[in-house]
Formats: sequence, C-alpha cells, structure tokens
Amino acid sequence: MDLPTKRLARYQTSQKSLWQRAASRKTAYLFLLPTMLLLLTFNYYPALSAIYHSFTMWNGFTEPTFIGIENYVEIFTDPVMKKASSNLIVLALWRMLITLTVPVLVAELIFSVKGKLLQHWYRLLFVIPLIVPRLVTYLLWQFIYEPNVGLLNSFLASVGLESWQQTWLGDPKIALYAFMFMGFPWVDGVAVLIYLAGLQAIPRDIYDAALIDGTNVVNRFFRIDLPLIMGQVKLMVILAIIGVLQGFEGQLVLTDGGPGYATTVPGLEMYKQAMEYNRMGFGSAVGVVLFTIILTLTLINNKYLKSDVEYSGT
Amino acid sequence: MRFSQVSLYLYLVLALVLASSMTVAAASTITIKMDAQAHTPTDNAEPTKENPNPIRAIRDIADEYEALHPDVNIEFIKVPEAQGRESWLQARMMAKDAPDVFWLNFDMTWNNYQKGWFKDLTPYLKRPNPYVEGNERWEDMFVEGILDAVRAPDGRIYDIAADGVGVGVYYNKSIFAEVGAKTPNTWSEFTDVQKRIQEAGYTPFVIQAGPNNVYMHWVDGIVQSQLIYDTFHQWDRDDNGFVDIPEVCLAVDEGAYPDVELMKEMWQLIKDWSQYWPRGFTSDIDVLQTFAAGQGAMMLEGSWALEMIKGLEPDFEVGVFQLPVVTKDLISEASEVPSRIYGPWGPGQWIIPGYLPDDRTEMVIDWLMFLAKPENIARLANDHGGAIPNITAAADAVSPELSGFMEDIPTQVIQGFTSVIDNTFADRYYSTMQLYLSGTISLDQFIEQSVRYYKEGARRMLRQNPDWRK
Amino acid sequence: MLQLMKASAGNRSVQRQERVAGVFVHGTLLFVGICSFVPFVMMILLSFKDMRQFQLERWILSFPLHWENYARAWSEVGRYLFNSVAIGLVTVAGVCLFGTLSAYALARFKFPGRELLYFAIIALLMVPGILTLVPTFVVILKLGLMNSWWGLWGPYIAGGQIMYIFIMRSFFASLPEALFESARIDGATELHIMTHIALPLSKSMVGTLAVLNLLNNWNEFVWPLMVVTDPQLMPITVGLYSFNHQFYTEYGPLFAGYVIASIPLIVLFSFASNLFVRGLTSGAIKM
Repeated sequence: MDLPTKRLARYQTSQKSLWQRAASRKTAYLFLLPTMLLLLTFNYYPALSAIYHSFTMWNGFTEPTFIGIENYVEIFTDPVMKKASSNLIVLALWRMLITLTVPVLVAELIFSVKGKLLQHWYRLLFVIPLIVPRLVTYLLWQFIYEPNVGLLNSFLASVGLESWQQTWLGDPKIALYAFMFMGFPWVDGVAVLIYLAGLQAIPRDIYDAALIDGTNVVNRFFRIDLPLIMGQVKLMVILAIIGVLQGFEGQLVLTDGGPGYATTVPGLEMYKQAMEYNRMGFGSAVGVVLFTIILTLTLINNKYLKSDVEYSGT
Repeated sequence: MRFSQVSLYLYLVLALVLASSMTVAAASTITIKMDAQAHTPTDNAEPTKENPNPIRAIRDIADEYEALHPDVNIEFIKVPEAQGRESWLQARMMAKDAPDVFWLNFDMTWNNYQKGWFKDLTPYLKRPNPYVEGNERWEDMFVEGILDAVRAPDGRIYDIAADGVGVGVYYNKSIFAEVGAKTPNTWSEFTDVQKRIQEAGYTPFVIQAGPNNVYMHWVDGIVQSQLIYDTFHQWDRDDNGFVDIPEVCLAVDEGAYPDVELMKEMWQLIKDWSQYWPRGFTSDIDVLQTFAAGQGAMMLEGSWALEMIKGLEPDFEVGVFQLPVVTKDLISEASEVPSRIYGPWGPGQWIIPGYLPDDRTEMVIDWLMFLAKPENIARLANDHGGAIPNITAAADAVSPELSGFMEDIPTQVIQGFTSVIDNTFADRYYSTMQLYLSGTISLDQFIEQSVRYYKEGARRMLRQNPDWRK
Repeated sequence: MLQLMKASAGNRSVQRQERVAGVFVHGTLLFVGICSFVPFVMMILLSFKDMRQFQLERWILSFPLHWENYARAWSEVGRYLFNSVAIGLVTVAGVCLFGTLSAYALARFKFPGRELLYFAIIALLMVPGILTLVPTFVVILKLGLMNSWWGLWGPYIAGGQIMYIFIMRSFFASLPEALFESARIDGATELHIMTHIALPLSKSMVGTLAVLNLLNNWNEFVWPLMVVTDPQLMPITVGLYSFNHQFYTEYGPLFAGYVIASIPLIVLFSFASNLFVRGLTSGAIKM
C-alpha cells in the first residue's frame, strides 16, 4: 500500500469515527436509559424525599412539619451521637486495618501455592462460607460470647485459663473490642478473590526480574505486589467505608448498642429513631450526614490512594 | 450473555407475570381476614411427627361461626410473629391492606395510635355480647383491670386482650432441697436462700439486663409496685387502681414523681440483688439454657416458658413462686404488699385497622364477640398451652400447672420503665441502668440522669398531648 | 569440591526453607479457612438438634439426629422455594441486562457528562437503606406494584445494578481498545460489538456478579414482608421466620430452614464455583 492510499484509509476511518462519535453519543444515552429510569424511580426520588424529610419532624406517616435544621443541630449536640461517632471511628479504623491485611495475606498465600487444583480448592474454601446468612453468623457469635455457658469462656475454663475469662459483650469497657473481634478470622471470600485477581494480573517478567535481583518476599510484596494491586485496594477501601458507616445489624442483634452506649453507632441510632421512636425525620437527618461522610471519604480515597493502572475508555 | 438468553429471560418474566396476575376471582360471601398470631391454625389438624402440636381450635370455632353466618367466611393469615412487625405494620397502614383483625402487643398500639392506625374499640366494648346470655356490656366479661392495662394514653382501647401471660420465679426444686431452702416469702429470706445457693456453687438467680429483653422492665414494675402500693393513689387521677402514662407524665411534670429517695433505695436493693445474678448479666445471657442445665437455681420468666422447660426434659422438678415482698426493715416506706405481673402480652390480642369502614367493622366485631365466648377462649387457651384467658368465666380453664402465675396477690399498679413514657425514654433509661448495674457509674449519677430523662420524656409527651392537662 | 559442597548445602537450605515456607503457607491457609468454615458447619450441626440438644449440647454433634426438623422446616418453607428462585432469577437477569448496557456505555463511549453520571450512579451505593425504605414504599404504592413481584423486582433490579455497573465498568474499560476499533472499522454496531466482543470476554465476570447479586437478595426479609401480602407470592425468608416466636425461637427447625434455603445457592455454587472463582480472579476489578 502506498502512502497516499494509507492516508486515505486513515482519513476515511477518522471520518467514520467522527460520524460514529455522534451516533455513539446517542447509543450511549440509549444504553443508559433503562438504568436511569429505574434509578430515578426507585433510588433518586426516594433519596431526595429523604433529604427533604430530614428537615422535618415526621413520624413516617402523617404530614411532616418543616423544622429547618433542628434535626442537624440535634445530631451535633446529642451526647449519644457523640459517643456513637467515637465508637464508629474506632470500628472504621479497625475495619480498614482488616480489609488491608487479612484478605491480602490470604490472597498472597493462595497465590504462592503451586498447583492449580490445590489453588482451586483453597479458593473454594473461602467462597463457600458466603452462603451462610449473616444473621446466623451473629447468632453464633452471641453463643460464643455468652459469659456463663458460652463457648469462649467454657473453652478458657477447660484449658485452665479461668483468669482470662471476661464478660465480653457485657462489660462496657471491653464490649467494643469484643465486638471488633467478632467475625474472626475476618476473611471475606470476595475480597480474597479480588486481591488474588490483582496478583494474578501482574506480568510474569516483573517477578522474574525481581527473582534475579534476589528480592526477598517482604520486599517483593511492598515493592511490586502492593503498588500493582492498589486499584483493588482502593475498591475494597470504598466498600469497607460504605459497609462500616452504614452497618448496624451486628449491634442490633448482639448488643442493641449497649451496655450503656458502649457499642452504639450512628447507623443504629438512625434505625432506632426512625423505626422505634417515631422520629423518621431525625433518622433521615442522621442518614444524610452518614451519606455525606461516606461521599467525602470516597472522594478522598480516590484522590490520595494512587493506583498505577488507570482504566482507559474511548 | 447471548441475545437468545436475554430473550429467554424476557419470556420467563412474561410467564411469571401472567402467572401472578391470574388470581382467584372474588367469592360471593364476605371474607374476614384475621392474623391470630400463635392461635393461627396449623396446616395439619392432627399431630404429626413434624409438628406434634397442631393448632386447630380457632379454625373449629370459625367453622361454627360460619355455620351460623353462611354469608361470612373467616380466613386466617399468617404473619411472622416477631421479626419485622414494625415495618409490616407501617406498610399495611400505608397500603390499607391489613387483615381485618391483627395481632400487636398493646404497647405497639400506644406508640402508633396517634397516626390513626387503629379502630377505637371502646364503644364496642360497651355493647352487649349477643353470644353470651345476660351480658350487658362486653367489657364486663374481662378480668378486672386487664382492659385498663391495654388502654392507650389517650384513654381509648385499641386492643382487645383476650388472653394474657403471667410472670413468676421458676425454681429448681433439687437445688432448693440440696441447700435445704424453702420458697422465700420476704426479701430477706430470698437473699438468705440465694446466699446459700451461691455457697453451694450455683448461680442463684438467672436473669439478664442485656439487649432486647424485658427482665429489668419486670423487676422495675414488680418492685416499684410493691413499694408504692400504699401511696400510688396520689398519682392515680382517674382512680382505676393503676398509674398509667398520662398520670406518670403529669406527676413527673409537677415534680411529684418519681420519689427520688425511694428510687435510690429501690435501685440499691436491686444492685445488691445483682450479686446473685450470672456473670456478665449486662449482655445476652442464655437464661433458659443456664436454668435448664441445672447451673442456675431460679429465673424470672413468663408462663410461656413452662412448655419450653418441659421440652428440655430437665433432670429436676420445677416450681413457680412470686417474687418475695420487700419488708420495712429493708426499705422503710415499703408497703409490704406483694405484687405480681399479669400482662396482656398474650397471643389473643385483637386490633382492627383504623381505616376499616364501619359496616365492615360491625361484622368483624360480631365475629370477635363470638370468639370471646368463655368456652371458646378456654378452647384457645387449652390449644396454646401458655396463654391464660382474660375472660373471667373462662379462667377455670387455666391449667393447674399455671397456678403459680395466678397467686392471689395484687397485680402491679405501675408498669416498668418500658411502658411509662415512650420508647426514647425507655431506651435512654435502660442504657443508664446498664451502666449503673455494671458498676460503671454511681447510684447518684444514675438517679440524676434518669430523673432528667423522666422530665424530658414527660415534657415531650405533654407537648404531644396537650389535652392531658385537662 | 568445596564449591560443590557449598552448592549442595545451599540447595539443602533452600529446600528446607521451602519446606518451612510450605508448612507456613498451608498451615495458615488451612487454619484461616477452617475457622471461616465453622459457621457453615455449625449451621448444619444445629439444624439436627432438638430443643434439649440445642440448649445443652450446642457445639458438638449429638445424637439422635433430628431429621424431623427438616420435615418441619420443609412444611413451612418448601412452598416458597420456587418463589425465591423466580424472584432471584428475574432480578439477576434484569441487573445483568440493564447493568451491562450502562456499564458498557460508561466504559467505552465518550459523551458529555459521562463522569458525572457515573459518579451520580455510584453515589447511590452510599445511601443508607433505612433512609429510603418508606419513600420507596410510597413509590411502590403510587405505581400500583403492591402485592406483586414487580414491587420486588423493580427496587431489586434498580438497586442491584449499581454495584454491577461499579464493577463492570472498570472491567469493560480494561479490555484493550484494539479489539473494539477493528470491529468498528468493519462497521459493526455498538450493540453487536458489546454482545459479540465485550460480553464473551466477560462471561465469568458477569456470572460472578450474578451470583453475588443473588446472594444479596436471597436473605432479604423486610422488603418482601412490606410489599407482598399474598402468602402464595412470599419468598422463602418469610417462611423461615415463622420459627421465630414472640418469646422464643425454634432453633432446630429454623437452622434446618436456613440449610434448605441455601440448597439452591449450594447447587448454584457447585455448578458455578469454577466460573465464580474464575470470574473474580479474571482480573481488573478495581477503582
């Protein structure tokens, strides 16, 4: 092919893509239409309605009364909310720590296993527990922590460690830590697989180069693996933030926020105010604040946690 | 996903939609739908291996009613008893598609009547029950005081409590024999027994102040009722023998309630008692397990637990007595009159949605009057096992096993903290009490804070109900 | 000779190191794996207990096994099993269909407002569910979707596609542009490119997200209880909670019910486990 013809072909494709871009815009909106219709109906409208109600006194049924920012003022002055927030910060930091360590470690270990079949079985081992409903897990932990006939204290007694026995969730001083320990060994199968995927996507030659350099395992992890799975880390951090800030199920089943306010979190207060105290307006305000915090943290996460590989779109 | 697969899914959607839209055409008769909680008939009328305890009495009664009224059809709807009731109720009231009669605990009607969700049943209770010969007013058939116990703060009754449950102290007869104790009558004897039991290596009293339970509510209700039995009339403005929510709120507002000194003495007594409670009682203690395993000598439980204990086949005999009386040598203001809880928390609580048209309400009421015939209520109680009829003439049907819950002593004159102001108060009060009982804060701090909660709560309630002041 | 000895000693120490490392790797994996497997085993164990065994022999396998728990559970939940399957499958189909279209558009088209739209969708992940419970119910009422599966499918699909789009967009974006360019030059429509080029490459990813979506909605209880009143249309969770009574819980039948309810999931996992595992490990789920 001589040069002019090549040029012509390039010109033609660029023409075509120009035309296509106009058409593709239309196609794009068309593709997004069903999603947006569904979201407008079932998500955006209710969310906006909730934002409106956060400025009202509302029992969830009769006409709301507009009260301005009174609910928000209460959130930032209520001592229970203050305690709930400090608990949440502890829980969030802990969750972050877990998300960034345990599944990564497990993924690294599975990655280092030689033999496809064995790897497969290990992956399956971490996937099956996903089937167990969360409520069952909470119940089991309740049975474990029971101070008198529970598994943990019975076990400590049977190995002669009576002095280690605690009342776990019953002691306001340690209840939050007991709550944090719940879910040991804190392996989320999905997280493991996502990290594992990141590791498997690392090109072989980088490893080979590292091997020749004589890099040890720890070095390799921090210099090669971690930077290259930063995209996965960012994703898991966001999901963890969302999970921990919105979460209250565990407290609802196990402690109801107690003893005292030792384990309460803003999410639980939101639930109780809205569903039990007839204060849907106040509950909505707590929800809006939580949403704003999650959004801010997500933006920060995106800005400051650098991932090397950016996605590329047309 | 290929397109053929997509279209396959679409066909599936279509098929399911068609299937779901083909509902049965309406019958010519009128159907009354009822959610009868634990009285709801089971699929099998006879005992089977899977379900050895079939429930059928209410279906039989409904059949008899249908025979009398061929144009009426009674249908029983199953709704989960415990989980998600709040959300269920909210949805049904918004959609106006609740069963014509449904179950709720009476305190849930107190928390929601302001929204117009429930039919005021007070006028219907004033009418004669045509199915009971000689009855002039339906309300006369009920055990004394029970309708006042379910009366909402606005003075109306939204809940017909046809059966209830008792509360008592279950005790392990073997442990009692081992330490040579008899059932105590006074608090001092009670303490003495517990001390001996503790020395013998058992947990004397299995109870908990953990999340989501009613034990402390009961303790508060019983002990307080004992202490104020001589003096509660000063707060009982309508003289019905019971200090109800508006009365508590007004008294709190005037500074007449609570009696701070008495409250201190009472909680000191309970704190002293708590040394005989299981370790870690501010978390979820497995009360029944600890008791049934023979590790605990006593527990405060509802009459419903009797069937469960039997199911656990304990290797000891179980008896029931009422919480002993606090004497003047312990608290000088004590009335020395014992008190017991007999509560309308039974499965037979009937509530009619507020939006139901009057003519339909009439039909529902007629069915409920038939159902409330003493012999019918007795049949329901026999079927269920743990429920105690609230209809006087059916009281003979109480099985002798339940007699410990029906001892001839006054029932409580004030409810525990859960049912004296509102949920917000109950929750704050409970949390502070947990901190006190677990030794985190002092008695003075606890009393000071809870008096503040009382005042805040009363003010909240009085603002919402300005007519209470009249 | 000396060198040779050194080399073999080195080999031996490498071997020993490897053996130690192997023990560490397998030991840790087995310990952690078995620990996280305990809830699954306990669910099954508890499902065979009667009240007495549950109270007094909770953590051990105790005999006799009470198979009648399963009969009892089946009599309560069996009739709802098909409903749950139907509700779940249609939801998954809807999520995959609409989610794929949107994720593809957001990943492979350039158009004004793309980033904003993407972020507006993702922001919905951060809205607490309690906040929108009542307003969403109002929508269901206004649209007349009460007491039908539409009232479940609508919000389930709308909500489920958010996570799907979140993950699928980055997956689609990671596919090499060259694949698409050549097809475009051949004059293929975007729909054709999506279904014939992008989707075949994402099969296991789609399957994975489908399974995760199914898992998510399977145990949903409050929403169906609000929307559906006809017992014939209820999902399996509503049947399960008939073992939770006002004052006590029948744990044996309840756990048997949980096991029965998870059988469709177990079947799905055993068929799709390879796909599932491959899907999540096929790369590029990230931000």
